[in-house]
Amino acid sequence: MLRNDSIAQDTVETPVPPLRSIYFYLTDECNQRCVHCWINPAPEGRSQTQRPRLDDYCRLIDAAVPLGLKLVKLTGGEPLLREETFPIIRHVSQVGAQTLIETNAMLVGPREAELFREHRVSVGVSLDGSEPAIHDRRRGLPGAFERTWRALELMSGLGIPLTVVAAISRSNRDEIPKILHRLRNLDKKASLQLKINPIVALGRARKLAKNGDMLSPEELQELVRQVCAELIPWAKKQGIGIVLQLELAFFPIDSLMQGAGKAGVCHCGFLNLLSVLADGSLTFCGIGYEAPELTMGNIRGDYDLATLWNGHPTLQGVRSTVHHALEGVCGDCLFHPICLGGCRASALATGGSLAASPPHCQALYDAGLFPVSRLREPAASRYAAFTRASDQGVPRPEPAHP
Amino acid sequence: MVFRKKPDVITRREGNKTLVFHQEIRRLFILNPTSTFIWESCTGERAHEEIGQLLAEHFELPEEYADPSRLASVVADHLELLHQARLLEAAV
Repeated sequence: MLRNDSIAQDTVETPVPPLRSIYFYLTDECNQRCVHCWINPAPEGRSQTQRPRLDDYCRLIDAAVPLGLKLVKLTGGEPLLREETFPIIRHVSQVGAQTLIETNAMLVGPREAELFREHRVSVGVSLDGSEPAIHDRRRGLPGAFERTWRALELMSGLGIPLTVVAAISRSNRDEIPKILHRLRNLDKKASLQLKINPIVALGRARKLAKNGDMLSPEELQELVRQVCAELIPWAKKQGIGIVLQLELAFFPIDSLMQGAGKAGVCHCGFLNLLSVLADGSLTFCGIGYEAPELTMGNIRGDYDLATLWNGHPTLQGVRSTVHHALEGVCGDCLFHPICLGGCRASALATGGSLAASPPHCQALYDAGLFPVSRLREPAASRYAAFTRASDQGVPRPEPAHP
Repeated sequence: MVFRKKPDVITRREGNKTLVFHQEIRRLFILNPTSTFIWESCTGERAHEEIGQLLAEHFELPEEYADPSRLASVVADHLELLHQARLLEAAV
């Protein structure tokens, strides 16, 4: 999967950023079988993975606090399948950091919701359709929608900050406004937002891609227009925020400068992030499942977090790469100092390199739709050098965002 | 003070806004319409007082906002901002 030059070999010295977030991929099991899951977990009870103990997680959290830790994200698989989840939440709370949990919420009952409220946990809940027929089909589980919706009602009633996450492809894109209409019915004692994730061909979603279910660059542009011009203003009136997880190249300059644009752009802050996989591997993010060469240690064993964070060649290579060595359209994009190439996991998985362009940007470029005004040398040979054989001769339009 | 754009910056218009990319420090600035007008007026020949007058005409400012000395001061402040951001240099 990885090219040898995936990470910059001659790294340019870059400042060490604070370690703001740790993502715990607590389990590689899940009680759903989503058609698009990029992690591809095993069914519940089927994993043979040797997992870290509670102490291992707590030790890492304690070591991360002096390095700047503010957020611990618990994800999976389904994190509520693990009995260590709530003890970890308590520990995060004790060290003064924030917990975010990503869950399908099927296991959230009154007890769990009350613990979320008590420890001020933000909860991300997956919802891929506005009605059972659509959501359950994509989640591979009849009855999933009803249980998830009940949990959403329960948590919103307790004033728990909620992010509803919709994984969107061609076959459920029309659901976005309908999901928003449904969310209008939830209590809004705390923040409520919809995060729209256009699916990338990772993990199980590769099959969706083969079946032609990915949104085309033109459809992504139309989605951005719809979200910025129609849905964000409407949702704002209902007290619902919207985040559209797409690279900056897709957004009109106006929406980037105005409040709606700020709300519409998502960034995981990957330079301030470490992740722990279900087996305890210390890695970059969930892409570590597909790229074991990114593993930098294991929290079940001995490690010195400060030494690792400040000097591990993989982290230094990633930092140097995103600042100085991005390839493809990223290498010519004026926005790259801001977005740093967007999602590095999807770039690695689809482009074979941490220096590659993210797939949506590259697709936009390959389709001749990348806004010329965002390119450093639109007419120069360098631009041509990035042009793939498949799009030779495609005329470059004037800026796509008037 | 008279300023001109530094030669190593890249400028792109998007509608009534401007992207200015400083290649050496690799920073991107997005200028709003007013800043865009001031930026485009920095040809190395116009002082802040003249740019202020042009600004009032271009945006058809009502009289109460078009006081020449006040506008000159606002423009001078903004030029200094762009200069500190290393986007402008003094025109000799």
